[in-house]
Amino acid sequence: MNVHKIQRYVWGLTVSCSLVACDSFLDTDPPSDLVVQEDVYGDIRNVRSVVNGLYTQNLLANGLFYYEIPFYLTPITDDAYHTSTSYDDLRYNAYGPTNTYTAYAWTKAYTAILRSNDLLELLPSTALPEAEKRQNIGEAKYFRAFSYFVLTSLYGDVPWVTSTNIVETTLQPRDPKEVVVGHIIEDLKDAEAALEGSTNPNTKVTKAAASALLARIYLYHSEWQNAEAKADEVIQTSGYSLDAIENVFLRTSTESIFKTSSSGSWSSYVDRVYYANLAVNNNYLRLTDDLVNSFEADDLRKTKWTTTVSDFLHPYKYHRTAATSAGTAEDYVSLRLTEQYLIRAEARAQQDKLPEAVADVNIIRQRAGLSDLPEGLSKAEVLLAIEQERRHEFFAEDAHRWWDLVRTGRADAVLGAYPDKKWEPHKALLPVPQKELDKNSNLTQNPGYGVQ
Amino acid sequence: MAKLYNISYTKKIFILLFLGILSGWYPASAQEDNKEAKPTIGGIAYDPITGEALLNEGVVRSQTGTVSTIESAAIEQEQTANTLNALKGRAAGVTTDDGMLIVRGQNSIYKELSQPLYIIDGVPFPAQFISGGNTQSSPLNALNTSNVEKIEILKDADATAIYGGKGANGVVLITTKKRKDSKLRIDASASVGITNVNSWYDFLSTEEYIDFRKKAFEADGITPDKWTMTNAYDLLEFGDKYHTDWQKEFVGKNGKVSSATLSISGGNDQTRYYVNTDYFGTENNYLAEKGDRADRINTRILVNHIAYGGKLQLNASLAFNTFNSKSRGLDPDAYVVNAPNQPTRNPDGTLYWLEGNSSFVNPLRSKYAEQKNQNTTTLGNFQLLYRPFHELEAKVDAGYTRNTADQLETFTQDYLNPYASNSYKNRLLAGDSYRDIFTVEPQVNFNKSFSEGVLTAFVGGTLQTQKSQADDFELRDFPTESLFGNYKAAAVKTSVAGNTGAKKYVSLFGRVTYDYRNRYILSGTLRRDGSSIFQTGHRFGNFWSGSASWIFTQESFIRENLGFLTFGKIKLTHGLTGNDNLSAFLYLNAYKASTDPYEGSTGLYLSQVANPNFTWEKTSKSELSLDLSFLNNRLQVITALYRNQSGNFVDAVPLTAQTGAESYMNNVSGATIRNQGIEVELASTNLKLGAFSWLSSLALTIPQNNRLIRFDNILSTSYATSLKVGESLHVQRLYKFTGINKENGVPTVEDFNGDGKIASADDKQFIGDTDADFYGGFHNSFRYKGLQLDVFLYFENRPFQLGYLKTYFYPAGYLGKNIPREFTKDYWSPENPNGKYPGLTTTTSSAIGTAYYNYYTESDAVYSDASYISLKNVALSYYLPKSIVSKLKMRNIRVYLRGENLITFSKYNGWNPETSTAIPPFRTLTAGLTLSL
Repeated sequence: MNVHKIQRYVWGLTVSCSLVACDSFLDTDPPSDLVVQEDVYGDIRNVRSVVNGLYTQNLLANGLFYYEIPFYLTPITDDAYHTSTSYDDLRYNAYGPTNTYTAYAWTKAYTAILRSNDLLELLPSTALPEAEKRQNIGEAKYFRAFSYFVLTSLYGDVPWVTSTNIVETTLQPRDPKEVVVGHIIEDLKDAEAALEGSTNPNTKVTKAAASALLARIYLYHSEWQNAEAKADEVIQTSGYSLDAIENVFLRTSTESIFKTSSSGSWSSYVDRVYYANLAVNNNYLRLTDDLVNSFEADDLRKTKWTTTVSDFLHPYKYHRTAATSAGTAEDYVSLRLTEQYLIRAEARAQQDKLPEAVADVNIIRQRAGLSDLPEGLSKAEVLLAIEQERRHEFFAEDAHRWWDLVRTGRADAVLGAYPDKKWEPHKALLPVPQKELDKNSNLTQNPGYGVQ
Repeated sequence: MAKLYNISYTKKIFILLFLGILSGWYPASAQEDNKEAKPTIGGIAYDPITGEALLNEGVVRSQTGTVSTIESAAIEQEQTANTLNALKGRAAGVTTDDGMLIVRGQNSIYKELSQPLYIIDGVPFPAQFISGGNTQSSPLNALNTSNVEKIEILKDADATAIYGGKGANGVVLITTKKRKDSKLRIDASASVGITNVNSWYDFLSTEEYIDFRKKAFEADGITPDKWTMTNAYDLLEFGDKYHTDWQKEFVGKNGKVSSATLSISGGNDQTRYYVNTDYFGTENNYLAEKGDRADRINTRILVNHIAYGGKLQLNASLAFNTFNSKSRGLDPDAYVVNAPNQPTRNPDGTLYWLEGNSSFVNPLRSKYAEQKNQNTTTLGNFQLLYRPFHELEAKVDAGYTRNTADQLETFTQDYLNPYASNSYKNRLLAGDSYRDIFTVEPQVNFNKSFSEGVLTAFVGGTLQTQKSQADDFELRDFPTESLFGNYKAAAVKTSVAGNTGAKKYVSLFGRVTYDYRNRYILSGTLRRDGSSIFQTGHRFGNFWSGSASWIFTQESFIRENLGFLTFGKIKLTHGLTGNDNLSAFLYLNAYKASTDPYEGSTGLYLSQVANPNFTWEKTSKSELSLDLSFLNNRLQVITALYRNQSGNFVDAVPLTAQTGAESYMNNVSGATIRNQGIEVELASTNLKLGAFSWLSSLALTIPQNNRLIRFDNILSTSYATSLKVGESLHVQRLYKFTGINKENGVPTVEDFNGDGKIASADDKQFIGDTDADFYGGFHNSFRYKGLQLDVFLYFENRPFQLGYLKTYFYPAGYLGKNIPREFTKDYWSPENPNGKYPGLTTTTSSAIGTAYYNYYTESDAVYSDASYISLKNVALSYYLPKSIVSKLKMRNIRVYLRGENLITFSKYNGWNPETSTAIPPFRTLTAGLTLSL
């Protein structure tokens, strides 16, 4: 009929339809149980919750921050071993790229790093008061620094990831260890400055915590002067003091610089101390004869911090079990003052300040009920004595024994001496997880671990 | 929406390309006049209202999409709890899987995302499960089969591309009954029936079971003095005192079904109305207590109004469906295997529990787990049509659907083992959810006849918003169970969760068809869809299809030489459709609350790392089909060869650990799923002698579906151990069974990598898949005067399916577990070293037991051929003769007797080859009556 009329109808409808088919109509509200990024960072109460998420997700939900480091990384040293044969590859240093336990720290550290990176990217543009913002940046940097410290100390070269753009970061290659360590030091220095004047308790990140960790990093990377100065700063100004052996891990301890708050009852799983009890439940490690025999008689650390279960000695720094409730008030300790004394001692010894070094060691020895070191020790002997003190002080706590053996180059001599351990020098670096190499062809494996 | 592709011809032609059932000759509803009729493909069609034969006016069928149509008569014959079951075997290319309909295979790795689009009377109807409380229910629960006029399943690109971004998985168009004339009509019907189990599984009796257990202890070397209450309480405590038939306990009772419908229609030349209400109820037979039943009521009101001499038309309808059920039980499968000498109840009627045994389970405890479900569906539709002149029609369709699901589960104290330490005394779980969809679709249709052909075109748009919400919670420790209704009385309130969702959708579509002399037909479709699921910039997808048909029987040389061929058409289609069946907001970073607070403050953390770039999944479809009618439409055959390839599907792509996140949603490029196969549908009038006639129809599908033909880097994804390129998505990764060790009866499996150890990572292989090789339905209808017999057979060939031993994996002789007689016939023993089944053992820590549990039941030995033929539907109907009917001042009276699922023939070694579970096939016998005034 009237083609013209038809054309007008069709055209009119097409135009109105295409006007309608525009993008803004499709904008919808997000579902109520998912809080999207804009909404989070737009409301300062939510921002505070994300900052708190650093604690809830790291200290309470990420094993890297409670028991899994000592649990997996003590058996690769000569301090303790699992009774379960499932972990034999750790006990005998037979781990390779497909070992799930040595791969653990890699994944867990980067999970924590993402939290910090997310905050660091978005905090500056939020409406928090400046002082609070600064403090939060410090907290985020501390956690990032700690996570990278664990990564470099175990794997050597690792990708330095600071972005939350996963599409890019998924293929990043490894960065040299020294570069990453340089970044760690920067992060900790920034954290120190940012946390100046913060009123955080020691259940949260403080300037002292950042300084204490920094002292450790300096020592591990042979910056003796800085290590001595930093450790000294912490000892003099942080306000913490050594406590009796039996009090070191209690809530009332005077020497905890940074610890996880365990303010709930066991059943709510808030109490991470439960997992750190390596004598019972499923977590138990047996101390090696070598460690047990190396203790001097009267060493309070042996009597108070170990316990015998079926004729074997187990680490017993934390006493919480499944059955006990929040009566024994313990908190899981991440950094404590004792380490600063030993850092200062070692830094001094390396700078040939032997008398001062020995003085620091003796403080620790006295606390442990031991007599002072004999006079006239050489530098090498002093360093060995320090290594021994560290071993007796920090057994089954974090991965101190491993860190000490590897950084001093003593791993080959010590671990290689055990015939049942399949020690080879390249094993001082843990293997990069094979799964990661499979997914990212830009990653390389540590030497000695065979074909990728 | 149902008429999108054939608008201009509805007045003149009923387009029925396929029939899987005979009902073409069977008037469109059982309430119709019992006119003699013929199959409807290509032949004479009947106006379902007047029963008059419709003579096409020069145009045969030019619809170009592939549509399988199932008419109401067939649907009605299947009065089931789920409308989808009515489709099984009635249309080619359609299967049901876990309560979902799948058309031509899965286009996604996830079954749930492969569901088709459902449209009821033009209104989109989301059939995705709604979560309420602990379970999910399908909204189709609320739709009564007797309400349905026809179901059309659109399969190929041409039919589905018009649905663009939602058509990838096929489209199911459900049309409910309507009346189109103005005479006052009243129709009513009623039926009653009983349901029971159609076969019993043969287990051992108490005496046989005890004997077996003794033999098993002997085989393990455990002498009677070593029998304890831990390893032999069934012999020491129960002995042969009890003879429990667990099957009869659970499904021994008969269930009842009943239905009733009433509809009234009438009006005048301008206005017509149709009111219908429809009830379907079943009384359960599974573990039934008094009052356990499911009821469905559907009510509909339709009004049509015509004005300005037919130029303006208004149609409005409102439907309200409810489904209410009360039932028992949680673990339907577990009861089957219990020992026959296990007591059920104490003399005082309380449940029997083994004293001091905290892990003992009395299957009858399920009686104390009650479930109440209520689903409602509200469907409203309003349509305005304006036809200013013959060639043009403009219309607007507005529709609203609301689905709700409410669920309540209660567990009373009797459910719990009194010797176990239970963390709660009684428990209640509740969930509520709803989903609203509102759609507006304007459309303009145009047609123009030229001397040589006809051009039709239409253009339209869609706007749709969807909103949903779900809440659920759990309450524990009510002081008494009678207070279950009073939520405040619960001592403990846990697991409170809720979420809301929203989705919007906008599109523009158009189609052009040119029909040259009814001989060559070309058509093209284009659609542009936008979905809110995706991020700005990735929201829109373009979908299209093209098709070409040749009705070669219109050519003179065919007519002359192949006179027996009444109708012949060959058609080729190809196109691209899409799928956006995903959760919303995956493209944004999102945060979740931490489980535990730190020092009293909660934390938020980044839980979803986003990829803003993901977009539509795409499926390309191709089809070649041949549509033939012979001997004046006595035999009609439609054959279709299809091939669909889906790619770009969205999945959680794994990330490296250094990103800090595990995965993110992305379109998986380099992965393709292919579905291809052959479908055959035929209908024939076999015999017509006077008043006797015999008609048959067949729907056959030979699929090669669900093939993963490409997946780059699959080995570095989480699918490495479950999928393999070149195999079906349902491939099974198993040990290869290498026989029973003749020395000791231990089952052995192949050490695939030859390293001397059996470990699943290295020794399991991809062996077989659980897909069906072919399946279909065969319907025969016999008629003599007023008497009619319909027989419908459903068959399926599935050579490799989870067998009985895969699901019930206790070794023969195990404590407290009965053995099907089948497995006692040829087990290994020192006297029978060539036994087919493993030796007897009482425990899973013996050599036989360990191998049984870790290897045997994870091998291909426990798979079984689950092919079957089922006599799915037999119906005998009698139409009272006109003389009697008119004396009663009625138009039509019919009585019928119907049996469903009467017999199933199968070699399957389990109970139910259809579902491979312990719920046996139920058969139903119904008697009914329909009247129309």
